[in-house]
Amino acid sequence: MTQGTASHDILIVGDTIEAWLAAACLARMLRKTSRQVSILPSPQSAGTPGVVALPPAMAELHADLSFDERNLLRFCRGSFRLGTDFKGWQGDDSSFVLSHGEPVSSPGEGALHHYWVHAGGKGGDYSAYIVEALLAAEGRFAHSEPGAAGEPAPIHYGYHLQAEEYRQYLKRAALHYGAALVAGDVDRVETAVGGGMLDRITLRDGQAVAAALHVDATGEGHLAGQLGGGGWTERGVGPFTHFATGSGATGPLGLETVIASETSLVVDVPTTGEGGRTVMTTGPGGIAPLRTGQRTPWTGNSVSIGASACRLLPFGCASMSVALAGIGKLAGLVPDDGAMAIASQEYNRGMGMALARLRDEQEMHLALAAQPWALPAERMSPENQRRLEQFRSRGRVVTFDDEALTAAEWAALMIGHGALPERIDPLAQALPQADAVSRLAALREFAAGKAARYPMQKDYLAAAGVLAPALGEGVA
Amino acid sequence: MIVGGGTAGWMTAAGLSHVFRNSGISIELVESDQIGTIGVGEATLPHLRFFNERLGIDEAEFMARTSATFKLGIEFRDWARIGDAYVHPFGDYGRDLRKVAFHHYWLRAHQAGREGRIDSFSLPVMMCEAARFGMPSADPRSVMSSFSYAYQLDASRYAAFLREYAEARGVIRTEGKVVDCALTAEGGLVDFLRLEDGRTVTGDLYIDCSGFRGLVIEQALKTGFEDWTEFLPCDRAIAVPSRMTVENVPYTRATAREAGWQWRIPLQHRVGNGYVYCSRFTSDERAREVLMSNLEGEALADGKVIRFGAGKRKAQWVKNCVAIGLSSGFLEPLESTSIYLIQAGITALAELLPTRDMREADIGEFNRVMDLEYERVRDFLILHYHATERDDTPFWDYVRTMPIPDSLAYKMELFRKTGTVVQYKDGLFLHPSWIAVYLGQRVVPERYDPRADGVSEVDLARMLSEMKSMISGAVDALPTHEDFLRQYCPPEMA
Repeated sequence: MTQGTASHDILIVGDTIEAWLAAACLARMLRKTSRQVSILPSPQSAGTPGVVALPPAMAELHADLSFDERNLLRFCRGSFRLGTDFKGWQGDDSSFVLSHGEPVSSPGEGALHHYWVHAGGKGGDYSAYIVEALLAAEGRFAHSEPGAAGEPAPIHYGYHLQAEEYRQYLKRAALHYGAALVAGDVDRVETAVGGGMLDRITLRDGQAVAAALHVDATGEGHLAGQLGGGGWTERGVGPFTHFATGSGATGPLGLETVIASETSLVVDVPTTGEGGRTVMTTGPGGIAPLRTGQRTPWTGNSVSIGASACRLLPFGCASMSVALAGIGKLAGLVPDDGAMAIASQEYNRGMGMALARLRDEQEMHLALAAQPWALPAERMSPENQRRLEQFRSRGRVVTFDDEALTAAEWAALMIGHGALPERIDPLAQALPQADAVSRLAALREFAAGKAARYPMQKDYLAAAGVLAPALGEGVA
Repeated sequence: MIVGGGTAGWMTAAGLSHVFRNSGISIELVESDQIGTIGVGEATLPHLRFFNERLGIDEAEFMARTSATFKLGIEFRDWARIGDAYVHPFGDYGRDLRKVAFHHYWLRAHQAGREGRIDSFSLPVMMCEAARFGMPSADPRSVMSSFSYAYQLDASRYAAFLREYAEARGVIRTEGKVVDCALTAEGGLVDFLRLEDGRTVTGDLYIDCSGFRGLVIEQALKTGFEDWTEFLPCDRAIAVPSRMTVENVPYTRATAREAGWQWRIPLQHRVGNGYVYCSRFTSDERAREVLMSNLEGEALADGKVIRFGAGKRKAQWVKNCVAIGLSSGFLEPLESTSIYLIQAGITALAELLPTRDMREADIGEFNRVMDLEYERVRDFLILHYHATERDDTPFWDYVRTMPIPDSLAYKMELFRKTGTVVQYKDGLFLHPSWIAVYLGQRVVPERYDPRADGVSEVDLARMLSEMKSMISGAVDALPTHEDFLRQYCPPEMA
């Protein structure tokens, strides 16, 4: 590091959601230690999306940050997210809901989908066995079943939040937990001799800052792009080349909708605010070019998180899942000088797997679509090809390390897109088909009965005071 | 068609006859009384409990019939240094706090000189040391939920027990010695097996449980063997039962010897002993001398030399033949993995059993799953040998300095530098197991997770003290292992 440069332990650079989320998490985690977490919120984020979809794991992270959920939802004009409705993917008017939940039960020892296939079309919609999917389709929600006897099963949910409000919320949290604010705008990033390490960041006012560890959360890889070995690899997920964002989503609260056509994907994410709409097109019908790809996230003394590390297609919880994976792994590997090399190696190994599995999820959707832009199955990862082959062959759900989805979610995804097993578990096969049909009907009735007891999400939010105006509220 | 009885054959027969009951699948097992079995793995892992439970086996009856005792872990003596001892327990160390693994908090206190060994924070280790036993609790709030257990059993009796189980569920046993395996002219599939008396037996799928020979998978199908003796050089063992002379303890012991290691497995009626050694560094005579001079009680047999080589078949499923047990590969019994690997093979096969046809997709998936199991066990075993400071004999000096797989070198470096255990979803040994062996073998992290500093020294000291008290209090309230066995599964139940 050059003399005269202000030094920090951990310096997060960026003004994005992931920058402030990383700052909040790391600052809280390290607040009683000797490590100082600093944040340089630059460059100012110009491309914050209108809404963000947060996966269920974020609820746990919010709890770690002592966020008051009602306060968060009120401030961010958010709602509880239960799943995604995939419409038009098969080139007709069919649709299915992929939720964060699991089937209520199975008619036997094997997984539900074996019996559902065994029923030969008499098992109804696959999503009819999953309470979260039923709730999502009807716009209902509660944290658990109202009036249930005993200890009710919790509902698995994420969030839909207005993005700018969420960024502000995280900013307050980060500062509350002691993240030190470094004021200024990035002018240039300088590397040490050899180009593998960041030397310092010079600000427009002439000051220079540096850190033992830099976190590139700029969204564009402003730091990582300067480092040798930190280059961006364009790797398109499907043929979508342009996109545009706006507001005005429709549909039940809690349910994202992704409508496919021959030339586009339209993603609607409803919130209690304006909601958000993203349109991806296969040609320049969108406004901005859509870049997907990734880089080796940790190079030298700089680690990229969020969109600086990886960009996937903007549907589902992709962007926040990328951010969450990066922050979660970084939290367990904050190194000192003697362990930087092995920590970065382990981080890159773990993130390599995590990002591959997130990409698998999107590629599976695209490969199973019956649209002109469908991804050829052989272009999926070897792991995904095996997953699809095994599922089609005999209904076996293969999962790997660092999966984003559970086995039940993978089954629901593949079935939803029409990939059905040719053979099923012999245990399910041994059950007479008529018995399978009647047991499945009973399970659907059971799930529907449970779902009917939940209130509408809008009423639930109103009763909780979430829909009241949020004025000057703080964090925690 | 299952080829060969023994532990692998009858576990497979029992497992498949249960899973595929009412499915119309017929199972036949051919074995010969003339051929002895290895009686592999008298010590087991907790997974066997779930295998038995799934089969609906009554635990107390099973234990009485197999003269089984409870097993809470494995004690390793003299491995890192002569005089060292540690237990690899079937359970957790302490409790994680704020998503930071417990061993980081322990390490912080240890580095400051305020805590000794991590064993005090493991309920199963403390139970082992006190030779006490009690059933685990299903209540996650109870300290008694922090461990699991396995069995130490007479493997021959277990095979006989499962034979009874399987035959009662329709498995046909054919007595006969397989002398030839005929392949089809087209495709080279297994067509039929010829028995010594001229009869032939046939099946749609052949499960090779014939032991080291690999009668079908190797001798007929020429699958090939992946040799791992470079990393796991022990290639012989002598096994000898002895009379029980001391209190029955709920753990297996593995004591490092001059050219390998000696096992001690206490059963209800005797002690199983054996010396696993490397023939490059000692002779059979010397090995026998070492074993016999280190028995606690009178030897009940002479013991014969068993030869083996570490490694695995290049594929466990080839054409219409699946290898399970010793025919699929061999890893020395240091961590009692033999029966586990049989179980893993049965589980994978049950999920992938062909129905109408044999598909490459299923075969490939089975081999992928089993390769992963073998490789991850292999790395864990090598760790025991390589992470030693011993150079007092040529054998220990060799294993201390031998090259190791890159995958293991990486895991060790990561733990040594950061205290992080490499995580994976599939595979046998999870965090607590790696921590136990790393620390026991003196691979101590240079640093702990900085998040562990988030607790004040006073709070940390109080937390650690409370954990230790809770564990010692729980142990004190338990009956002795011997008393528990007498009450739970006395021999007269058999």
